[in-house]
Amino acid sequence: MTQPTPFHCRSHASFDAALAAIRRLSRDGQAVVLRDLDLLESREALALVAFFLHDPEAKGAIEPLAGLLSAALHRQALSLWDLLPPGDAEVAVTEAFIRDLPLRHPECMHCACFPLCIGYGAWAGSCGMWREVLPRLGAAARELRLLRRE
Amino acid sequence: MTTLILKPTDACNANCRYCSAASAAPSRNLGPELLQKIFTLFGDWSRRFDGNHLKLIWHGGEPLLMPPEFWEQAFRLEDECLTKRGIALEQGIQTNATRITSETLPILQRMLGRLGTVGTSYDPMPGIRELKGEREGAYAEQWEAAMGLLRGAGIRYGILYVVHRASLPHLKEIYARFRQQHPEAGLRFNPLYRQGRAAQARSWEDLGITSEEWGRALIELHGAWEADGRPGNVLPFGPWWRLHQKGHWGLSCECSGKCVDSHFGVGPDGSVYLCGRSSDGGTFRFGSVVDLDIEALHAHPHRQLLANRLVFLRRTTCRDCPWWLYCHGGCVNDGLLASGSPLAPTGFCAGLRSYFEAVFARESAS
Repeated sequence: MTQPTPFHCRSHASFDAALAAIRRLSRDGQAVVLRDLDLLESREALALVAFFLHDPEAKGAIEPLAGLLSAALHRQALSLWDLLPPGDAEVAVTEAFIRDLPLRHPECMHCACFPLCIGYGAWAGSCGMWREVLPRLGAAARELRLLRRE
Repeated sequence: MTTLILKPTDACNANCRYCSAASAAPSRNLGPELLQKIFTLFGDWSRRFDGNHLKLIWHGGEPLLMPPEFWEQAFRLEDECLTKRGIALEQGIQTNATRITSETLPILQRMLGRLGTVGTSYDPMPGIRELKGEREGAYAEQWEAAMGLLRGAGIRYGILYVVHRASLPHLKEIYARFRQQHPEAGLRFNPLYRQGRAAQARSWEDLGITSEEWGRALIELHGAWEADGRPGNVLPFGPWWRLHQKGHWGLSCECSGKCVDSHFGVGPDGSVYLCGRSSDGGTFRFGSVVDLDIEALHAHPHRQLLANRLVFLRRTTCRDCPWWLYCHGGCVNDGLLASGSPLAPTGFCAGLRSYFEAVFARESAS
């Protein structure tokens, strides 16, 4: 199995160009790991999610979306922190950030995205985007569970 | 299955020194209009979310202070709002049992059917559980007589014993006494909670126990339970043992990590809470049955917070704990009492860990 190809959307001329490149890779069965999802606008991230979930051309996994979908589907204890891990130098700081979430970001504790996010969006400044993306993946996981039952 | 802890009254004829539900406020009784709304709401809930099953535990206060007319109405409303809508209803009652007489026995028989059980609390130590306005020892006499009536009627019962400081030196005797005198009964040991009357300074000074003391009490009682042949109906030992030995998943609410999906509590004013303890302590109130529908109840922010609590604990305080599956951070109300935060683990964490280490780590090693 080949390693997923690291992919930076913002290194392309436009988001449409980035999406076209992802389409080509995925159509050929190549897995990609999106390195700069946190920099995308919500509509851009949702376009990626729509391609990943619904487009029959999407054959290669698109990480971290595939990992998040799998975690939601199998109710695994896996979060954005695991799929987009901080560098070694940041581990202690991010752990302290998570411990302090109830004080610094109390809204996280009432958020439906928390099981998959655990404050990652607040840390990375991409909360708004993840609050749109994660429910889509959660809904897809619920649909898949229903289909499996049937 | 959803368990609904329903308190038709917060009045009580007993005067237990450590009552966790005691309040200085005037007592209230549940009326038929609210009762109908409660049954309708939770009938809707069980149809939508729980496969048409509902377990109803009558609780209090002392529920058998409610007059026979109340029970007639309640059973009629159960038929109308639950049974006739196809909901399989299982019932139980938690009572101090002192009002179980030949007059009230038919109410219990009708309520419980063949499967329901009576839950009751008792303390053989004098001066702990007494009746208001009656001589010392009256509670014990009436309780023992009631157990005889239940046995005679073929009604199953379970006994809750609250472990407190004065009982710590006598736990093995207490265990043996219950098992000898009530061998068919379920038996459960709980730690004293610092809530209600037990939170008053004098009571807590006399009766309060620490987390470490609870851990030592569990170890001692576990020894008595093992020597007794590990009966499965003695809690909390049976479920933990089955989890450890066989991976059976049947922990009680405070350790299951699923309480938010399995329990509700409703007070005599129609307030809906997370559970019976929350109803006693006024924590995690979802609203009133007058205003709530199942969508509002399902989407309530408290439910999200409680679900997120597990994720948060697993990622922080409980991250490296090898006993996570045995307690899931414990009861949120214990966490609140100990630290004031709903995101804290149970205040009995240290004691539980010492118990798990002493019993299950030893087992695994051998």
